[in-house]
Amino acid sequence: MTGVVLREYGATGRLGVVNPTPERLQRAEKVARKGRAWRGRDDIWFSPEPLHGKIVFLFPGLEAEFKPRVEDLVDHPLDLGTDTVGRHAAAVLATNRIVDEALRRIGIRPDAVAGHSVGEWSAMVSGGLFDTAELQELLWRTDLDALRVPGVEFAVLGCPLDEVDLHWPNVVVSHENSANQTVVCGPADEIAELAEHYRRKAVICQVLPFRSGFHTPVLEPYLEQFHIPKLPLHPAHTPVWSATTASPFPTTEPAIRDLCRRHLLEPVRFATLLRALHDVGFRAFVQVGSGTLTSLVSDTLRDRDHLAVAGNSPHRSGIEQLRRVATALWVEGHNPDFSALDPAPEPRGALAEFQAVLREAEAAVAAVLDAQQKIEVSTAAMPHLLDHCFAHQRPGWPDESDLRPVMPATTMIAHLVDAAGRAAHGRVVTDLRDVRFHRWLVAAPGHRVALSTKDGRAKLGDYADAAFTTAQRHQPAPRPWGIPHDEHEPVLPAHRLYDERWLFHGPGYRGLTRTVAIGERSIRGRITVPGAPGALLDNVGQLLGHWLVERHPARWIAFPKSIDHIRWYADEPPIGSTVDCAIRITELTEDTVRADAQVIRDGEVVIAVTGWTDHRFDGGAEGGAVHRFPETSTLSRPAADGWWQVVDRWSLASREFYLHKYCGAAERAEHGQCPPTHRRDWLAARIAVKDAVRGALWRDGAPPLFPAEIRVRQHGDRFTAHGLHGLVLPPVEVTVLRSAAGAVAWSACAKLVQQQGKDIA
Amino acid sequence: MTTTTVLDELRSMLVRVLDQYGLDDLEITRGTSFHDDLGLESIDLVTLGSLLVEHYGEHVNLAAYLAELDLDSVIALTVGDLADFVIARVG
Repeated sequence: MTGVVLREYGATGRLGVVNPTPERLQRAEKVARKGRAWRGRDDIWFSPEPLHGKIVFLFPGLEAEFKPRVEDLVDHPLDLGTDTVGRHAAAVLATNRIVDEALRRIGIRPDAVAGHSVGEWSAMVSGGLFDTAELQELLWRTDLDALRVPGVEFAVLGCPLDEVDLHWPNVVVSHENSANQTVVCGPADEIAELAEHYRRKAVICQVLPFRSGFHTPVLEPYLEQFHIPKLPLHPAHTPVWSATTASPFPTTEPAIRDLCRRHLLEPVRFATLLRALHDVGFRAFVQVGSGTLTSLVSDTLRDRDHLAVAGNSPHRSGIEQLRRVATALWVEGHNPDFSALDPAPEPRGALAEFQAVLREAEAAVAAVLDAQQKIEVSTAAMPHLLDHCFAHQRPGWPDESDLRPVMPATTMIAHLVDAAGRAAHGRVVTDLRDVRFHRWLVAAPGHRVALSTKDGRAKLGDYADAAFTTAQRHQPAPRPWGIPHDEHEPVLPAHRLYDERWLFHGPGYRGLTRTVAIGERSIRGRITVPGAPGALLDNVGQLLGHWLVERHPARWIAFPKSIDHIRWYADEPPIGSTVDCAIRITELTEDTVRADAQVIRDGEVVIAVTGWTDHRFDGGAEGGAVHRFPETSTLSRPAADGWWQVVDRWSLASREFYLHKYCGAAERAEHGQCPPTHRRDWLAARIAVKDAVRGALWRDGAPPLFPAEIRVRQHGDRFTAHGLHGLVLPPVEVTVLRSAAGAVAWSACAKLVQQQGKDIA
Repeated sequence: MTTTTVLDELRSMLVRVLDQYGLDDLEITRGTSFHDDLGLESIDLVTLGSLLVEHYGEHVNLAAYLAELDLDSVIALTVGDLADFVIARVG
């Protein structure tokens, strides 16, 4: 498909995007909102007021770098070698002609043509003055490399024509390229001196890698060898402009032939030509061939409205670059034929063609709509996320962000499946593979997240993605696994997992109704499907959690990191139905647990999961206790003389986990402003201070206190603690001792030094 | 003068040079190549050269620096190369 997205902005504005990825569409939207013209960067074109105006084709001549990409525009092999000036010129002319013809095939036709240096011959062919076959025949007959040319050099100067001072007797200006670029020509020794001179004046000067003396009087003695000015002439069908006179070619044969001669002996006045074209209403300057004319156009017409676009680019195939030209011109109000860009599979009638164009347009629009879909992730839009909060707080706690409502990995899966289903147009999503969860998707504060599909992968922002497979119908289901031999009754009945907060889930995600049996490497349970999206698979994860709680109580906190494969053998069982779940642990390491699972309904496997991988969090018994009951537990341990000591041996992920257990929004903002190297120290000190304060208060009979209820402030070496959101604390000052930087286990000790105005240290 | 400062200054100059092409939310790092990543042609280096002189003075002579490079090296030039050159000249 064309991959061109066309959307009207207001009455006149046009926006075009080639290969509309979600990122690119997002940028395009921003560009359009800004309302300033944007021409081509990142394959986006936007024109708030299309330029319309006339189109000129500009044909490049010989340039230092020549990297044509025209293989896909022709059906025969090409010789585009440039090892001699003659072959280089032939290759440039051939490329120009190929790109010219390709542009016309997609309905892009010039109102005038012109060329830079020998590119002017291409312009004469394109405009009709020369016949293609006759020029070609002349090129074949002539041994271009046998042409003798003066051994003079060209130097490109980075300054305007009127700043060029020529102190060398034999150096002349050969090209007035653009507002800030002039080419001079002369004998090698003088050019070398000149280059040195201008570089000292900080003017950029490059000596070109070929010699010819074109466009200077020194070519005159060699002129007889050039047959081009003698080619048969034909009436022009498109106006041809001369860069020698910066005006249209004359109409009489002698005048045309004279101008052809002058073209070889007089400077190329390209910048003047461009201004003259602009003066009479040309706005679209299309480079027809391989080169850098567009930069000369932009440099010269910097302050005037114009479009400069290259018809060929070293960066992509011929067709792909044509697609960009067509988009650029459409955006400026022209009407290229996009359908001609893609090869037609078979000859089609007018009706079929029209329908194909319509289908393409529909597909393009659908692609945009799919790519642009965004979901609102907030507790207002998704109240079920309040049943999946990582941090307990005092009931009625006013700051939702302190609760840390997080979208479960399995709810992300539900959204990925939704997106895949929409892209599948009526087919069912049978598999997700390579499901990856990149980071927590936190719902407070609320925000919008893009949900998209591309190339068989569904993506939820940069939070999660997965490859998906769709089919007409589900695959036949495999048999449920047999029952492991080492099973026994679990210690904890399912309801205690929730009551005792081994699982932190609220009603929308609570589905484990019975844990049937547990083994060395297995667990089986019953799930009544709860109401939150993705809750069924979440309960598979919860059952795995139960296995960890019973079999590995020292390190039982775990969250999904990735899943190799999920296959659905039937539609998901509806909310309220009861299913069986069997899990087999396939791998257990310090950091991860991997398992396979089956969800079974009425003896039939409905979902099979392979390679479910959880990351295990560290933190020991204290970590587990703080996870479950932060209001009565501490990460620090009381030591002698009223000190509380916390030792941080945690991974980065665990540390982030505890940060949210211990710190409210204001403190987290402070943490975020800390240089990363100080954050570990910062957090250890806060934890120790909060635990020392809570320890002292509990000793005096205070009720349970959540760490986030205490706000710690640091004043140089002193720490003070204050109550938040209704908690009133007596004035407290705390002293902190920290381990040396670089210690493996980071520790901080805190001790109250002053309470209610009296020293207690 | 630190690399970070110079990179920031170069970034704002490049934004000025490229503004005509509608480029205003530009990501520039040491590895950004003038030709391949930014699509700069020799003519844009002219503008950049005069901004360098305007900002750092005559001794930051881009023309002289480019003269020491062959065509391939000019094409492969990165923002980091230019930053190193500026730092060497400004000291």
